[in-house]
Amino acid sequence: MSTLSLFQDIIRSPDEVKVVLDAALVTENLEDTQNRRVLAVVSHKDDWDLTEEGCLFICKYKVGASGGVDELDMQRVFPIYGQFSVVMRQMGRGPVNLRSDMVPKSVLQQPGAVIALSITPAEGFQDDSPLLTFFTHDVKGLGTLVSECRRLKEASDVDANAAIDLASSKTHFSWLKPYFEKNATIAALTSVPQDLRLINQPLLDRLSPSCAGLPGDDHADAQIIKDDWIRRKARTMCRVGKRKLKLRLGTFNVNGKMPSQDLSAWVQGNVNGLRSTKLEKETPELPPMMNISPLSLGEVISNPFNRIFPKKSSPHQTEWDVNQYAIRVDLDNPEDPDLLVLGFQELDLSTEALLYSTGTAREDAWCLAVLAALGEKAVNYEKLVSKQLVGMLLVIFVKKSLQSCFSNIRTCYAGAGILGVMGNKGGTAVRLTFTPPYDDSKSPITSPGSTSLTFVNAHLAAFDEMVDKRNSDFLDLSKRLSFDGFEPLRSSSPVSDTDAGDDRTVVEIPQTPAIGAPLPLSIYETDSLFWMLDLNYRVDVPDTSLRKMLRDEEWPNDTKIEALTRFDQLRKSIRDKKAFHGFKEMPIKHLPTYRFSPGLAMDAMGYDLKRKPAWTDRVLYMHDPLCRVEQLSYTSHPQITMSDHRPVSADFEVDMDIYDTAALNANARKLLNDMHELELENTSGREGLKIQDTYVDFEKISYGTSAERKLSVRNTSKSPCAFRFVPVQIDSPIHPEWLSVHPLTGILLPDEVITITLSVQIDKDIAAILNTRPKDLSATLILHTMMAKDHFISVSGEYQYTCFANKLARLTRLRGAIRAMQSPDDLLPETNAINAPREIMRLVNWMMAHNEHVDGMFLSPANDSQVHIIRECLDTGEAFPFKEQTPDPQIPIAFAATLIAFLNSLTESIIPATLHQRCLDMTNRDEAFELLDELSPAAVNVWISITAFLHFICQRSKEKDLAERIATVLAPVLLRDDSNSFVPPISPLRKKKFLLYFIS
Amino acid sequence: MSKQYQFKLVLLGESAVGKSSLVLRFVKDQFDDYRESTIGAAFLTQTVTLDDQTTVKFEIWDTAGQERYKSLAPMYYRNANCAVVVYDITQSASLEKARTWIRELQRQADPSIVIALCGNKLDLAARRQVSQEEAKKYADEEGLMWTETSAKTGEGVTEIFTAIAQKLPLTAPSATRAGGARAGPGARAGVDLNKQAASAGQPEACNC
Repeated sequence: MSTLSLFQDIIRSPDEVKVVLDAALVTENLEDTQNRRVLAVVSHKDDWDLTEEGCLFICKYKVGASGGVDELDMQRVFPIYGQFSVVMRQMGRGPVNLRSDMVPKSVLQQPGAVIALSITPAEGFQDDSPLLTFFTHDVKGLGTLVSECRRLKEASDVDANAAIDLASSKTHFSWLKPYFEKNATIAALTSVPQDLRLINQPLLDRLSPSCAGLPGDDHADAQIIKDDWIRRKARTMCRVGKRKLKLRLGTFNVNGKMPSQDLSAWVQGNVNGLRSTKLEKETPELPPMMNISPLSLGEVISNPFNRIFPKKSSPHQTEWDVNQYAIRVDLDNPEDPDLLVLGFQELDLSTEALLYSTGTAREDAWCLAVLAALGEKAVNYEKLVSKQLVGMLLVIFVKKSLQSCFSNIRTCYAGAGILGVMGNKGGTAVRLTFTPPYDDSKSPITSPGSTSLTFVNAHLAAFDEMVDKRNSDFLDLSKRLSFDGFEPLRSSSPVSDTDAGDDRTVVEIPQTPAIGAPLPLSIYETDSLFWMLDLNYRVDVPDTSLRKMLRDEEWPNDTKIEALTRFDQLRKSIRDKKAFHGFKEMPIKHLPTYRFSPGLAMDAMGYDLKRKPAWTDRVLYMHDPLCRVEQLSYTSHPQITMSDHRPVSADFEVDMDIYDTAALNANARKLLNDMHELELENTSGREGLKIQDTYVDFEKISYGTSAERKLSVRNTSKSPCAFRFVPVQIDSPIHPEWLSVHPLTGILLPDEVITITLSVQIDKDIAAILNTRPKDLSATLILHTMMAKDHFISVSGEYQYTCFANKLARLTRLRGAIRAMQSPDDLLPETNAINAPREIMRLVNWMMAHNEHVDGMFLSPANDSQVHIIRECLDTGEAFPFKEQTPDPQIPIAFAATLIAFLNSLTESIIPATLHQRCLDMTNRDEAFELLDELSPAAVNVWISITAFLHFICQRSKEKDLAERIATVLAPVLLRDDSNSFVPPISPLRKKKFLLYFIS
Repeated sequence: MSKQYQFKLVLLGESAVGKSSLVLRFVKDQFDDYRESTIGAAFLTQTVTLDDQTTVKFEIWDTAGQERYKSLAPMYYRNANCAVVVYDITQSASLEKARTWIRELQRQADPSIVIALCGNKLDLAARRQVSQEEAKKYADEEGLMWTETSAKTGEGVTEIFTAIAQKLPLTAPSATRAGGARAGPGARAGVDLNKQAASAGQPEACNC
């Protein structure tokens, strides 16, 4: 590929390459290809103010994603103005060779025929670097370069003595800014993955703020949309297969203990893991302890299989291997994790450990314990890498058969403890890349693409009230944990401990602004990222209530834990975007993992009385959308009791693309070329997109239904066209809450057609909003095409008011059927409100009047269309269309189901969450009735009429436990939890008990 | 040294009076006999040279005339430095509509906005329903610029935009770089300039 096209790959399309020159640095060693440079003059014209500015870029060749030296890296940039000059002089004695087509290598071979050029930077760009002198053989190119520089210097209107700070300049040379930003080049082409925090943001959030008549930075936005489009498309085009990688992650705060128990439940994913979870449920008893000493472990490892298979097996196992060593296949179960990633905290609590390295004795002991826990499978695994900082140890074991697929292993650490740097708190991290084995002789891959995995083991500040400190520790670690920059060199040998060799290339020229340096890699610059940590986040529920709830045996663990984790500080910090924003965590199904007391000061469940139980040990993750990560399990292992924490494990499957990087790059370049015209400025007023229908009518929109309309949009122009939806006002939403639009951004090639889907789905939250608005729904969507036009799409619909999803106080002020309301404010005065919502009364009265068939009411599933008919009748006020004394037993069931759905849709609970705690204290029927005094009159009437009916059918029934069963269903409906409430929830069984005072 | 100014211009008026045709003639010197109704707002630019030293660049928003989209019009005339309100000389109702637009602009747009009333379709003068006298009288009363144009023949089109450029307060500093880092179509640059221009142009008003 020519130097020009290589250079064009790293230049933004509005900027124009004037001349590209192959040259070499003048250094002692003229033969070294490391000294090859590309010099290029780039001009930027601003059509808006008719000015032109130029810059001289100096680039170096680097190893590209394909493995060859075929990419350019920007090294320096010199704005052309003021003092800037390029001086030529002849080098050596030989005659000047005017051939311009010689490759740099031949330049190196003919030192006699070269011209040297020296660059004098403009004011503010000089530094201590040696004279910027290069030599080149391309005399013609050099001539053009010098004259372009002269021309651009004259064109510049910058004060000759002005020193311009490129990083902050908002006027001159501000167009250079995108080059400083790390990801300015096409994302698909860089070997460094994009920051996960950025890539996981919806594309629209990454674009500049914009609204009707006020476009944002269309150029930059088009660039972002284009990058994203190319990134996805290029990868899809070259994908030849998928490979699943199984990971088992564990985190364990060992409280300074040495291993003294069998760790197999925690370490082993499958068989033992499953058995242990069963044990955990059936009996709180502990499995027999196994005393393991590091001495005896040695024998476990040197088991006979090692002698049979002294060599690493190849990742591409042939059939022959499998037959020959059938026994081995059994052991190397594909269901076993490929990687075992374990994070330990408080490995060593001694003061000495804080001050100096205490050797690897503890690490070795724990690694042996892990191998021992793997049992006979240990033979399949090998330690790949580990990284320790004081008490925090991150260690990764790999299946031997896959070991050669892992490379580029890097480690790093950051302290966040005492003084913000000491290692009693902080984190260690490992980054590695996995190149899936691929063996297909039909379509061989020459340069297989790889996927990077990053693991962080961290330990954050302790104590309940330190939430803010934990949040800031997290942000601090996010910044400070970074890996040394490196070129993508392949290393298949395992990397032992600490810092791997520094591959950072020596940059001869100090950087003016940081362009193209081997930048350190952030832990977020990866395809998948996992944090395993003792976060020390606690639960914001008072200590006594928390223990009471945990102990409550009548409350099933799953709903109890679900209710309690709503008060978890980590969940709250994520919700408030204060820490771990964008991370995912599987719902917790296990009991708190901290703090267990070995002594006397413990509660009935074994938790320390002085520390509030908490889920301190967690596993969180995030990943590139192109690299699917699925979590399969998340559990604690209470049978491992040696520490005050319980270990936690999580199984993951990472689904990776198998692709050829050379094909990826070729695709990306091709797509990039297709896209070149996208950013041409001279597109003013072009008619790019044609929208097939700009008026969309949803007609009648009613509760519980959904509707979809499709719009086809065609690019009728001859150039690619990027679009995005924009809001009417800068701070207003792009579309109303009752509507969803997909996609919100995109690119269309000439003649391409895209379908935009508009959909409406009225659930109870949307209905609660729409019930209080005028029924005419209309909105105008604005589809903005870059630098051209705002297209309007009118959307309309007529909302059908429903009695569902209202407040009781509003329902009692309706003049009649809600559907007949002309405006949402057409209500009775508060003083004239009726006693109870007539819709509930109609339901209860009907059920009371048709009480012959009560079998299955509230318990059996109902016919949806009958429920729908009943709801319509409630909304319209029409009589129920069912024959008196109907024989269809499904109808009473449908009425009961409608009542439940109605109560669930109410915007408030009949008994508000604030009163739930008091329901716990009621010990008899009379006390329970007294509590009703706290309710609003309408709620009391609803409660009394419903419970009276329930009482009636339960009394009459021959089934003894009918009241119990009905109460189980209705208690959580009548005493609904409020997810926004700060009041700790109560057990559903307590709710049931309260309801039973009224119906049994 | 040459100076360039940048202004935001919005076209308003009833549907089918020829707003888009007027812009197409001004920007590309073209005319389509059958143009589809504008649904949305198109963004175009054109530069007018006033003399050797001065150029004015218009950022033009050509809006939809249909009543359905009326509520969105304020988004496009906010921060506009000038507005061209177009009517069709063969439709007297369109002048009424123009008056409504002008009242709205006077009430809600930037007070320093320069408004031009423009009677289009001069090539159809034979079917004229709006007399020149009537329109001119109204424009004078309201202090508006006024002219008649034909987007079809091109008559009067460049002239009205040039006249607006001359009327705009060219006291603002050169537009060079005012927009900062690559502000795309530079709409925001126009806004800033406008504010400066407005304050610079205000003293006379204060003397009243």
